[in-house]
Amino acid sequence: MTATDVQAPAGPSRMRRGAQQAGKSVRLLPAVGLFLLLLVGWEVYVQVSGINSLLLPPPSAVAESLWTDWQIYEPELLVTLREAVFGFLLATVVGIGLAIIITSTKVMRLAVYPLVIASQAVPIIAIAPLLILWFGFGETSKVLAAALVAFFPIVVGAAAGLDSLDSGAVSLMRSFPASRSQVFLKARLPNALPQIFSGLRVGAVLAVIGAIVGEFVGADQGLGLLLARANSMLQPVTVFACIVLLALLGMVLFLCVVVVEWLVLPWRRGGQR
Amino acid sequence: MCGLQVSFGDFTAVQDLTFEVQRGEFLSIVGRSGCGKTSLFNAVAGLLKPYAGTVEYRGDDVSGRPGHAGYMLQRDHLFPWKKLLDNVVIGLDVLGSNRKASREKARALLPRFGLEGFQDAYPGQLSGGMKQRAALLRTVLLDRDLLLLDEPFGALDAITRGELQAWLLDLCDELQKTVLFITHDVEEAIYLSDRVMVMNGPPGHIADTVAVDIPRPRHFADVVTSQRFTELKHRLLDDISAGRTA
Ligand SMILES: Nc1ncnc2c1ncn2[C@@H]1O[C@H](COP(=O)(O)OP(=O)(O)OP(=O)(O)O)[C@@H](O)[C@H]1O
Ligand SMILES: [Mg+2]
Repeated sequence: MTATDVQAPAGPSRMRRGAQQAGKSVRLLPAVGLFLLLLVGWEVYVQVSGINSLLLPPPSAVAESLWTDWQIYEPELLVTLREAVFGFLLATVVGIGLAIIITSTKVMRLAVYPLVIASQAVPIIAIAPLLILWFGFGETSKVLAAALVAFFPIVVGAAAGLDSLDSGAVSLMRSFPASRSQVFLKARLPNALPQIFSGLRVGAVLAVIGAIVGEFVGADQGLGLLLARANSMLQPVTVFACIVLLALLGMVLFLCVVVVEWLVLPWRRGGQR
Repeated sequence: MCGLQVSFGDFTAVQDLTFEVQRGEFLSIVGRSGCGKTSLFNAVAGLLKPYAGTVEYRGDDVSGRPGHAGYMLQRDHLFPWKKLLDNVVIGLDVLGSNRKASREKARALLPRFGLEGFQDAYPGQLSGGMKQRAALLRTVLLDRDLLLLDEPFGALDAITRGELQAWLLDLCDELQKTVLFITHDVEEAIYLSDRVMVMNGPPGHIADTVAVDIPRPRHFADVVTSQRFTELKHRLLDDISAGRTA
């Protein structure tokens, strides 16, 4: 913040925001440019080298497949989207809840945190078959797989955030005097929000991975199933189309979290990141 | 306060400390860093239960029971997620006052605290001096008769500090509060106070108490160039360095 911002917060801040938005679209350019460059390189390589299109199809074929066979992809995409979103939401509730329990007392931290870590030491690929055994081939087992992968960064982020309140701020609150629950609701929780959102951003992307792993292990629908089938039936175009959709899915969920964060944390908008 | 002792485990931060403060008095506490000043305040504010001794406020034992004093901590602790106006009324919100009324009350005081026009600014958009004034406003809004100010100007540059000192002097005249004021700065203590206590430690104890018999209203330039000021300053500095060799 510069001195001019301080002296006239109303006028220049609007200008600054406009400049920031312009700055943001400029910042998108390198990513888009690199992506296009890679696509062109890939296309040219496939055309020039004459490589077997079963090994590497050209991006134009992938795009064409997505366009003409959209009615095949769409329902599978929606299934996976639903699994990832519900898994993520479940992970958010459970993750923040666990973080609150962990940071509430020393005993709880010692009791619960090790179990949370242990749950992540076992790879999801080992747990997914059990989930499918218990909850069937439907969406429930995938939602749980997604939640299981996504909740870890959420717990860790939220616990670190809840721990990060300065002891002086607690003293201030208690001097009013504020009750324990007031200290939590008015200081500890809002103070943790930036770190909670860091965890949520990672969790959103991981939820897609969890859902896909679940579908790989056993499913009756979903992009993961389509992908696994296409792979075994030597349909590389479909495989690549699924990969593109999954990448987009992860990015969209990530962006959703970023937008919510932007709305919920207005004081973090200027600068910082 | 009688025979106060504050300990953290085996470490004694404040030992056998007794003093009294009159209603309406401005009492400063000076002492080297780490001598136990903040620990003393935490005990006086009721945040720390003294290991021994009691804190009495208007005849009631308030040891370990917060709520009687307006406490301004060493750092401003403004919440970055709250706009200035919401930050300064947080104490009143916690106490369950009418939210609208307390915001009106705060808004009316903004000009007096040099914060007019900044009610919607986040703390990240304020200068250091403004944050200190906001923290002081938050303390004053609680409307307690006893104010505990822990180095309110410690982190500021000399110019801002001088301005805020003069301004606090005015404000105290106006509000007629009882003020306990911690500082490292002997000149600041003399300029503002009715009485100055020298604390040495750890464990913190009172080495000397000096009444400042310089008439009010005080002007900084007049005060610091007066003979009496120099004498008092000399005595206080001697007291502090005596604590180092002891
Ligand atoms: N929570 C705590 N646990 C253990 N020791 C503490 C704690 N708080 C303070 N102390 C110790 O007590 C002593 C006095 O601390 P205090 O904060 O009261 O000093 P101070 O006089 O306010 O110093 P400064 O002028 O630097 O603010 C220090 O030696 C410090 O290490
Ligand atoms: Mg201190």
